[in-house]
This record gives sequence, structure tokens and C-alpha cells, in this order.
Amino acid sequence: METSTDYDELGTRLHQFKNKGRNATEQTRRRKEFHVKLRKAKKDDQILERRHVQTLQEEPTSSPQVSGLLPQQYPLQEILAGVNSENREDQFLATQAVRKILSRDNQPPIDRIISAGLIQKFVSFLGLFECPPIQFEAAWVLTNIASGNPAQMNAVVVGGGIPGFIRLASSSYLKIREQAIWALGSIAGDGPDCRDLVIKHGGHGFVVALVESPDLSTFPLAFIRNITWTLSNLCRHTDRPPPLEAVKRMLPALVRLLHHNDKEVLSGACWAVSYLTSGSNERIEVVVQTGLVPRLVQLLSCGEHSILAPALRSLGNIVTGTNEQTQCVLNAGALAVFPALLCHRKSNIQKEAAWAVSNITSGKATQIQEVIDAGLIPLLVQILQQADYKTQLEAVWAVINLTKVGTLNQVSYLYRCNVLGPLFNLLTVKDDTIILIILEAISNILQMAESVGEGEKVCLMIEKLGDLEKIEALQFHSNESVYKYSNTIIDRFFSGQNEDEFGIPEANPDHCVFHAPDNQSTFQF
Amino acid sequence: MAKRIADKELTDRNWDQEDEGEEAGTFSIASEDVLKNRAIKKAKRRNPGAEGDGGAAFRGFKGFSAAPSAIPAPFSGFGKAGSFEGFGLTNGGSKALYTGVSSATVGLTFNGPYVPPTADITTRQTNGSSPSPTQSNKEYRRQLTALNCSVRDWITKHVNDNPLCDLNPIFRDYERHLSSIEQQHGGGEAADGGSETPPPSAALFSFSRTTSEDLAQKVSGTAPVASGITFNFGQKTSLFGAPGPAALPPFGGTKPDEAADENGDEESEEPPKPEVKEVKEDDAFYSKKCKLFYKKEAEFKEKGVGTLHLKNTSDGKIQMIIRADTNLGNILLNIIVQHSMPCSRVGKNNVMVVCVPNPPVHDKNPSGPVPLLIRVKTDEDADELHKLLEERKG
Repeated sequence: METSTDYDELGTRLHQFKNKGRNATEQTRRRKEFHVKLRKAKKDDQILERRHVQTLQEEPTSSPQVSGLLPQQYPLQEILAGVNSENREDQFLATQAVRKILSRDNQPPIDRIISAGLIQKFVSFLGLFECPPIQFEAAWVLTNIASGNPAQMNAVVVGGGIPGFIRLASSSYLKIREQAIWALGSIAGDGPDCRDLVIKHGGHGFVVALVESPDLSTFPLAFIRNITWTLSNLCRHTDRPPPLEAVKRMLPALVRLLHHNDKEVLSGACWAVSYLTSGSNERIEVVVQTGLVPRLVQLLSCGEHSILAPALRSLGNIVTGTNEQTQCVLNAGALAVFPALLCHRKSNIQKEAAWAVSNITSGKATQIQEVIDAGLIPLLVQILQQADYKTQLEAVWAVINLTKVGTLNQVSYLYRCNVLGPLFNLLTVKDDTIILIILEAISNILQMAESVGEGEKVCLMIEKLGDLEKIEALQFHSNESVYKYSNTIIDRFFSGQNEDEFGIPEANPDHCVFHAPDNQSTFQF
Repeated sequence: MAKRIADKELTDRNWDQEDEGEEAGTFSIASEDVLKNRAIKKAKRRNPGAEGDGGAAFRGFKGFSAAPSAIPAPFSGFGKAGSFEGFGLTNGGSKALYTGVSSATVGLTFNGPYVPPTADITTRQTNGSSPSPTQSNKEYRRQLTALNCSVRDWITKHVNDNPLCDLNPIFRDYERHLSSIEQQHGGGEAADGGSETPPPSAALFSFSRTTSEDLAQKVSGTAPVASGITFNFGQKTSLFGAPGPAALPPFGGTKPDEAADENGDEESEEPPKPEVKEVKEDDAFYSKKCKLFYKKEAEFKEKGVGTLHLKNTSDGKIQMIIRADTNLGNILLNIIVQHSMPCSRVGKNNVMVVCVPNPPVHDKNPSGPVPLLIRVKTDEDADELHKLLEERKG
């Protein structure tokens, strides 16, 4: 194991420092003591090595070897003395002691450590490349502190923790680089300010270099997962997205991770993509340019919900972009997966899929055609009949967008898929906007039908479905616009004025005037 | 372009949470004050007396002057009982129109001597009962006759128009319809054919290259016996024909581009036109499109648009039938013209008669005479009709 090599080496180096300016007896005593403690420390760490790096904070406090390092043995004064001494060994021991204290599960005395002014010291220890054990312990301590409440994290940041960690990129010890990555991910994940500070100091470069390193495949899986997590935190917080230049720098690394085969890595990478695509069209463009869309589409079918959710959200974000960006998603064959998504057992997935379709049907008629060709319209109608309400809303949007953008053939196809009945059934909902949208969709269909002289058929169908009452009832709606719209629809399509060449019925037909249509040669139906 | 971004940010921290189910809820009604100032319109029903398939939720819905308790969900949010009293929403016609809603059977029940074959077919199908073998055979013969006559007529017409047309699609359609008839009625089969949700006029078959069914057919009357059965062939230009019976999958995923293009008719060069035909009852000596009104209180109310036919009866009288121009083809009027029937020329293009209408137009007084106004397209048409009635009524 790497650790034993590390520690043996470390032990040797510590020796070298220790011997400067000490008498022989003293040296012997200290050496013995040090080795005893080093052996104990090494054993403890071997126990910890087996765990995932993210559990570094936890520690068995019941182990007898550890008990000697609890506060009773090392009160704050001693720690301070050790940290402030010139002696590397003392510094190491003191730092390690703090690390173990802070690794306790119950109420680690973080604030005491901070108020003792120790952060600055530990940050400086991060730079001790000649003494990696100290670097490692210091990094661990600072990570623990930064994992506390915002004020505690802030103390680390203010104390220069970020550049300190970033410098650890050049450590030749994997464990140290891993610790640093973890700390930086934790800090960046705190919020856009911390994230941008990490970026400003070049933290993203550190991460990218790791991903792009030829040794990536030799890294322990836990490390790769950590890297992915940190990268995704550098992309997070979409309300204030990271600087575009940093995004461009991180994308190739993301793409590489997207082709990994570990579920957690894939999930983390997809989350990162979902954050990056949730922005302006310019940002979407930068993502699409990398050519990762086909891989995202591939991942839609991977069967892992933790990957499906962010991959679908990413694609859904991309189709909120330009028609060209939307086309990229279609060209990658996304729609072929949508029948399964629109019938997915998880209503969130159905909803996200329907939302994506609604944005595709708001694009171009050719894109609507692709939706139709993929057999999605009947599935939308099914959703309108029966689904989670939020999913139904998305389907309503998909329908109305189609009636606005679609060709005559496409709208009539929609009609022939029995969309009217379920649409009408939704006319009772509380949300005024949805009612208005549905009315608009119905009106669009009627107008289209009228334009080819088939308005009567659609009106008849509506009557047959028993839905005229629903439109009439909307005139009683509390919302004035709903009243006006439903009133207008009745007036326009259901009062016989436009379609009846016999004219408006008069109370006294003796005095009626025949309103002849322009073309009397054929009956218009 | 109406793109909509995601309503909420999805992250690895919240993705697995189930959304708090947003409820559809029910919309709220305006206050009485607001409602007082609103002009509420009634939608014109093209089929007075016919109930829609989906009308179940509104069965018994007697219009807005009913007490709220009579109004079924989802309108239970209508508020206090008192709020709709005296709401003068009756345009006079609403009640009459709504009585049709509460009639128990879909389809057409007629009193009187004349029972049109469509009603036969309709009630048989909607009753869901198995027809007896004899009835079935009779139906089979009738349907087959109608089919063969339709195909004969269609071929005649189209080959006359264009001798070079390709008749293959027609033969395919014929095959399909034949097997459908045989399934339903052939060999005295007990099973009641028809689709799950038969529209009352399911007896009308339509042929379409796109399989889109156009049920809004006028009775062609080409079949000698069953005037209610029509078969149509060839590419239907109808884009808004009645939807298919099931939502999934529609027409085997036929793309609408394969459907009627604006000019995609293989058989002919004409741009698509909606159905334009004069309806021919086989033994009618006069047929004319018209609109029928009946007088109620001070005004004339519309009964419907349809085609008026005059026929000779066996006892030398004439029969006047007005059949609605809808896929239901229901009867608006069916009377024997009596010698004493008043008949006058009114206005530019109307003829007024007074008779006891069949089917009745008034609940209250079904056997009383009612002035009926028949409006035709031109004054010449009105003159012609009036003359015919006067001459032939005996």
C-alpha cells in the first residue's frame, strides 16, 4: 500500500530535520518516542485507509491507540506549542492531534481551534512540501473545519485555504491531492462566491489536469468519484453561473468523465452538464459544441435513475435553446427513447420528458414532424387523459405549441389522435392560465379545420363529446379573460354565424335579409 | 418561439424528492355582481335532441337555472344555492335544447310510422344486444348491397372522370369493408360488431387512403334499400374526420404527410374539396337543402339545417321529410302533407307551413299545430317548393 511507503519515507525525512541542533540523548529519546507514535499513527491510518475518502472525518474513538491522543493528553497549550515549534516532528504530532480531535463525531471543537488562531498555521503547513505528512494532516484538519458551518468555512477561506489547497496539486502523493480536491469541492459547493474564488485561484485547472492526466485510469475509483464531485460543484449554482472561460476549460474534462463506466462518475458528470446547460443560449452552445449530446442520449437508456434524471434534464435544457441546438438533440436520436420516458413509472421523469417535448413542438414544423414520427402524440394524449397533474400541464403546453407552429396536416393529425376529449376534461382546473391555453389550442384547431371547410365536423365532434357545456360553463369563470375567451369561441364557432349560408335567424322572417355568401355555386360545409 | 425553461433547478441534492403533488383543483366562479353584467351565450347545437357520447357528466344538467345541487361535479364549486336563482339565462331555447340531454338513449327514438334504418342500426349497436340470426342476415344483405352499389357508383364516376385512374386502392378498401361486414353480420354471427365507442352513425363506412374516417357523410342514397348506409371510397380529403376509436396508436402511426396533402390526390388532379353532394333519397321527386325553423311564442327558433325531400306515398299523398345534414342524419321533420295544410310564400326565400310537427317540437303540446318556416337558398327555390306543395297536396 502506498501509505506504508509514504510513511516510511516520511519517517526518514522527519529524522533529517529532527537532528538539527539537538544533543544525542535528547535525539535518541525523541526518536524513540516519535517512532512509537508514528507506528501508532500509521496503524490508525491504515484502518482509515480502507474507507472511502469522504469518510475521512469519522474515526473510531474507542481504539486504545487513539485514546492517548485525546485532549487530556494534548491540551490546547501543548498543541499550540507543538504547532509553533520549529521542530517538524512536533508540528506533525500537534497537527495530527488536532485532526483526530476534529474527527470526533460529537461536537468537534472547531471554534476553539479557530479562535486559537490556528488556521493560519495550518494553511502554512500546506506548503511544506518537504514534509508531506504534515501537509496531509493539515489538509485534513482544514477540510474538517471547512465542513462546518458557513462561518467556519469562511475562516478557512479568509485564512488563504483555497490557494493553499490548490498548491497541493503538485504533490506527488495521491492521497494528498485527493484530500485537496475534496476540500476544494466542499468549498466550491458552498455557494457561487466560494466557487468563483476557487476558480479565480485556478482550482478548476487543478481538477482538469487530473482528469486529463494519462494516469486517470490508474486512480482509485474513489478518487475519480471525488474529482467528478468537485468538478460538478464548480459548475453548480445556476442562478449565478461560473465564468464562461472556466466553463470552456472544464468541459473537455467533463466529456471525458461522461465516457467513464462508473455509475457515480456518470451521474456526477451528468449533473455538471445539467447545471451548465441551464443558462443562456450562449452557454448551451458551448456545451453542445463539445459534441456530448449523443453521449447524453445514450445515457438516457442506461437504466440508472441517478443518471437518467440529470441526463434528461440536460437534454431538456438544451431544447430550450435555439432551433439549431434543439435539432442537435433530435439528430442524436433522442426521440426514440421518449416513448419509454413518457410512460415512465416515475412521474418526475414523465414530466421532464413532456416538458422537453413541449419545447420541441414550439420550434419548427419539421421538428414537430419528428415528434409525430416518433409516435409521441398518442402518448401525450394518454398523459392528458391520465397522469400526474404537473405532467399533464406539460402535455397541454406540448399540444398548444403544436397547434401554433404545426402545419394543417400536423394539427389535423393531432385532432385525429383524439386530443379534444382529454383537453376538454382539463377545462375545470383551478389555474386560469392553463384554461386559457387550452381554449387557445381548441380555438386553433377549430380555425385550422375551418380553413379547409371542415369546421362543422370539429364542432360536431365537440358537441358529440358533450363538451359544449364545458365552454358555456367557463363564461361563469371568475377570470375575466376566461369569460371573454369562452364567450368569443361560442360566438365564433357555435352560433352559426360564419358557417351558415342561410343567414342569421330572425324573429320575424318576413323582414329578414338573406346574407348570401360570396360563392353561391357550392355549399360550403 | 415559445421556449419554456425549467420551473425549478434540479440538483443531485433534490432530484429524488417527490414533488408535493400539485392539485388540479377546480376553477372559481365569478361573483354574482360580476355575473350580472356578463352576456352569457348559448352554443348552438347542431343536433338538437341528440346527446353527446361524453355527455354523461352532464346528464340531467338542466341549464343554469337549476339549483346547484342538481349540477354534478366538477361544478359543485358553484356556490351557495341562492346565487343562481332568477338568473335569466333561459334564452327561451335552452330548456328545450337540454331536454334532449336527459333522454336515456343515445340515438334516435321516433314515434310514428316511419322508422329510418339508421335508427335500427344505431339502437342495435348501442344496446349491445346480440341480434338474432335472421336480423343479422338481413342486415348482412343490406350492408353488402349497399357496399356493392357504392363501389359500382364510385367506379363509374371516377372512370368516367378519369379513365386512367388506378382502382387498386378501391379494391383494397372493398376487401376491407367486405370482411368487416362479414365479421359483423355474416353467417348469422351473434356478436355485435362495431368498435368500442361506436358513434351512432357507425353504419357509415368511410374509405380512406389514410385510414382517417370521415363519418360526417351525407346519406348518399345509392343503396337501394338502406338509405342510411353509405360507403365512400378513395382518398378522403377530409383531414378532420372523426378520430379513430383508440388513442394508441392512431392509424398505425401513419404520418400526416402521407395523409391528404393539399394536392396529393393520386386519383385526380383536383385540389381537395369538401364533400359537396345533393342528397338523393331514392324515391324523392324533389330534394332541396334548407333550414327549418319552428315558431315558439313570439319568435322562430331554428330546428336545424338539412335536406328536404318530397316523396309520393302509396295512397297518393306526398310525404315531406327533412333530414339533418349531420353524420347522425336525424329527422328534423317527417309529415304527410295534408290537403288542409296552410302553405304560404314568405319573404325572399321562405315557405311557411302549419302542421303538427313530427318529431314534436314542444314538450308541452305535442299534438298542436305549429307554424314551420322552411328557408331555402334562393327565391326561385322557394317559389318552386311552394308551387310543388300547393299542387301536390291534394
